[in-house]
Amino acid sequence: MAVKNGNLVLLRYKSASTTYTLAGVVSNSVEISHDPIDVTTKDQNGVATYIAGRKGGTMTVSGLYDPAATTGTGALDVFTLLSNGTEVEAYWGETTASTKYFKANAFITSISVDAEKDGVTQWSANLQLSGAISVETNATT
Amino acid sequence: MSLERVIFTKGTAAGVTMYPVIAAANASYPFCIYETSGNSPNHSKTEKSQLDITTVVFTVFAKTFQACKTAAALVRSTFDNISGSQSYANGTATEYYTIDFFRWDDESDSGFDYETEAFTRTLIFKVGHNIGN
Repeated sequence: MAVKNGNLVLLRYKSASTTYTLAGVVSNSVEISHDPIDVTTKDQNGVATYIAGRKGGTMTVSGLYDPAATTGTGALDVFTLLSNGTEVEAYWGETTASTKYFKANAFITSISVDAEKDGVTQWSANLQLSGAISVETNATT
Repeated sequence: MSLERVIFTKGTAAGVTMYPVIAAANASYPFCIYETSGNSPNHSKTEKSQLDITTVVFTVFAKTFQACKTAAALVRSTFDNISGSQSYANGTATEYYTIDFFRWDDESDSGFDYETEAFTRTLIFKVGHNIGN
């Protein structure tokens, strides 16, 4: 059994051959879905039958807004990706050698920043996965 | 510790007799004790907190109800809504500590202390700062 501390599970992305780790992240999630196609006919006595359909997914990330982030990229960099419509490679999972992660191409579909009185300013973004989603293993160093 | 020194320095400069946690046995009235009662850090997965929110409780003691109210009002006006770089005395040196916000959050009569025969009033503030700074 290898239960994971959520702090180890990060969201990285690769753009123009460089891999970045998002800074200030508090939470990141991935949702992968499969939408099977209903091929049930009248003569199946009410038993539903499906064939494989579309697979897809989304990722979300939220964190502390730091426009001067130096330990990784932050909300402003993600905004640039959204503004330019850049397709990135997204990596959701652990980062150490021999550990696994989800990999998919993705577009940033939204970003929001919330600044409350007497509270820390936070941001969040949503990613739409595009194309195949795979499970990869971090290289052994 | 720097937050406590800022509180002591600003309160004293405003004319409030300040004590951390417990007053001196021979304290003259009115006086105010102050203490921190909790911290809420804002960590991320990969970075330490850069904004900690601390609860600071002031308890004012005075020999009359009106004097207690007056001293409490002075505490509120001294600390409510201060921010930025604050100076404090550290021995003979003057040092500085940054306060992100210092907000009056609640205030109430906390009764009459029969042992000291003093009225008391409690003020609660929320303070944003960076403890690790």
